[in-house]
Amino acid sequence: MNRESLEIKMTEMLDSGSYSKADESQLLEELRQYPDLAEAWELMRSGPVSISYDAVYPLEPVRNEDLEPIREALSPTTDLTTELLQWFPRYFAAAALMLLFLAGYFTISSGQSESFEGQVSEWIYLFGEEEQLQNQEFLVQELPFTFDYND
Amino acid sequence: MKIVQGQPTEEQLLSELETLYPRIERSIRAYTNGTGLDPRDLTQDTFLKAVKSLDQYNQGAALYTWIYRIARNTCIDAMRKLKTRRQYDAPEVDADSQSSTDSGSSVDYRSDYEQREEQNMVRRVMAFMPNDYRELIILKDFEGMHYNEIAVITSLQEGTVKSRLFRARVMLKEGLLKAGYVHES
Repeated sequence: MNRESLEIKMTEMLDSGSYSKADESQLLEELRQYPDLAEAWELMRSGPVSISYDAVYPLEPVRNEDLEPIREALSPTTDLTTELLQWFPRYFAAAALMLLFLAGYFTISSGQSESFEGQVSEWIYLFGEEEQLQNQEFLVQELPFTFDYND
Repeated sequence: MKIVQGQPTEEQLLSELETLYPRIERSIRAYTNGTGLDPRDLTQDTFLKAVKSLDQYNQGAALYTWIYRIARNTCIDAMRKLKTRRQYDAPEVDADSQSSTDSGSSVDYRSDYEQREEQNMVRRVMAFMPNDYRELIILKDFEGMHYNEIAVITSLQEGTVKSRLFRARVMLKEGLLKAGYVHES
């Protein structure tokens, strides 16, 4: 057994707290090659130092001011703008395509509206002409004489 | 306007925060004792780093093991920055140990005083120990972690943890005996 294996074995024996005389005899036999380890075993076999670690380093009460920044960072909510900014690069290509599509749509729509406007002007013009004709007919009726177109 | 993200890990950390925080803070206090570093700041850094890197957390591992690992690295970085040379400052003197002279019988006072002296002695001896050994005492003997958990935190093999822990315990006991601490179980 090398040093490390012996140290591992001693740790396991000390942790378990119960080992047979035979186990210890075997260990001591192995430790004969390493007097410093044998000395360390003698020191430790009486048991670990009785320390109340809770007394040495007691748990301090947690202050809200310490937890608040962490809670804030951990908060499952986030600002919409921040969220959108995070999402934008991910969906940049889709957004660009959407913009192209929308631009195309509006171009086509504006062409249609022009023809619509022309149609309306035409209607207005026609309506005006018709009105003019009606007015002329009215004026003719009001005249004290009539035109004889057959002459 | 707020919208809900709802990641389970965040919720888990949020729910365990109040339990984990004092434990991590205590370990950092023990680990950095005598260096002059502020354990409160380091604990804050640890948790904020954990929050930032939650996406790197492997759900298979225990959350506290992962945070201990971050705490350890945070302390090592801070100590490296300080270029700490293992010089121990005066141990913290408990304020209430001074006032204990005013109350109780002389027997009670002596017992209380001895206890505080012993606690100071443990802190002092631990502060003199190399970081690699001190951290194993903290993780195993303070926190009662399993060897496989300590191996994850320290990035060591379990066997190495055990052999190093043996040396650490010998070191601590020798230090305490030399310092006059003779109380053994």
